Amino acid sequence: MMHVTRRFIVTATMLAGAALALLADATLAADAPEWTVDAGKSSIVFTGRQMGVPSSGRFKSFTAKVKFDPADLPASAVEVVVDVASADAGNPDIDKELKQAKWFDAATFPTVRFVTTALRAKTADSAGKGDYEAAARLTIRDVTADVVLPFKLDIAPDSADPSQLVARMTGELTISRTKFGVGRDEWRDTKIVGDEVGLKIEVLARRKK
Amino acid sequence: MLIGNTAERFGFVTKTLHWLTLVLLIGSFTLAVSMVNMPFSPRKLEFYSWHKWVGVTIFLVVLLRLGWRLINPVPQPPQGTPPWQRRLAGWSHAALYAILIVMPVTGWIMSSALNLPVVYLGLIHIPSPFGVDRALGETMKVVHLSLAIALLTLVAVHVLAALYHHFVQRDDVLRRMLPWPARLKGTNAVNWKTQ
Repeated sequence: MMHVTRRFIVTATMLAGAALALLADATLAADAPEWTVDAGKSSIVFTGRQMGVPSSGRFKSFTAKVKFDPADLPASAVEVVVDVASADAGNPDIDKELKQAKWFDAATFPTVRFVTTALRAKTADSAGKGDYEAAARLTIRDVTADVVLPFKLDIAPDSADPSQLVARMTGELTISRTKFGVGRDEWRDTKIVGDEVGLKIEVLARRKK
Repeated sequence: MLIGNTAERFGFVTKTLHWLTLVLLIGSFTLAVSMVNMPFSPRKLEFYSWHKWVGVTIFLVVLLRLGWRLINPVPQPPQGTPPWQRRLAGWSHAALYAILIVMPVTGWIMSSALNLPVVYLGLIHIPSPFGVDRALGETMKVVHLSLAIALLTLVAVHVLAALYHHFVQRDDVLRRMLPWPARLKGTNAVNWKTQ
């Protein structure tokens, strides 16, 4: 009887310890400094091809939550929510078309989401400048897929306000539009509108030192 | 076969480029009229691309024609043609050339301004110096359409004038541009009315 109780207590203590460790991790994650994204100096540019002709546009409206500490990447995370109806392809007919059910279906799926699952440094110095990659879950319409976004980062004191840091991030990745169900029915054929869509992301964010 | 022009006749090159221009224009107008009314679809995008390729081709063909015209004699209107008709013919030919050059340019600027760059035959990108500019695109749309109407009018005048020469004046003006070798009546027969 005593034996069983002692074993129970040991197990319970171990479990509690593990739980506390997890909790500590979560608390640490919450502690990675938060950055404020400057929307005016950030952009999400997409490039598609029609009959081999590249044509670029951008999403005019998006929000990004950035928690980033180059010294504590496990505690760092980025979440970007893009308003698909804000897609500006530089052509009124195309802008209207992109909102339709065959493309983004903006009425049913108003946002595209990009949520990081892991941030990895490839060649970064102690200040945080260097090359990284972000593993993330990308959701377009009702399809979620794992993507990897390689990006460059530069963190420096803000020349306009020395009490702040400025981070500049640029990254590019290519996705398959049909994998996300963007372009249905007659548009599934990629002969006229290509399957590959390039995304170029530039973010400028600041935080207090 | 006569390659270049003489004072009386158009040669093979001039005739070929003249009739090629007509074939390209018919293609261009047919594509234009069908594509603008289509719902947004892959076919519509395809038609737009083809229309742009034909337009660039017309531009190149007309440049060739003007170059060829510079280094070749141009058969003159029949003797006895009233000066006002000569002047009208000169102006309308100049206007036809001008529109055939300017129209593709306005289409190219429009398309590029509306962020659908022109890539000739899907191979050669022709970048516009004006870039993407929605307002400019809308303006060019109006100019392009106005020129299309002007061109149709001028082509109608051109055809009517050719038929007038052939059936009323009974001279060589239409015959000498026929795509196949035609026996010309010669300058004497041309002036039957004034003689």
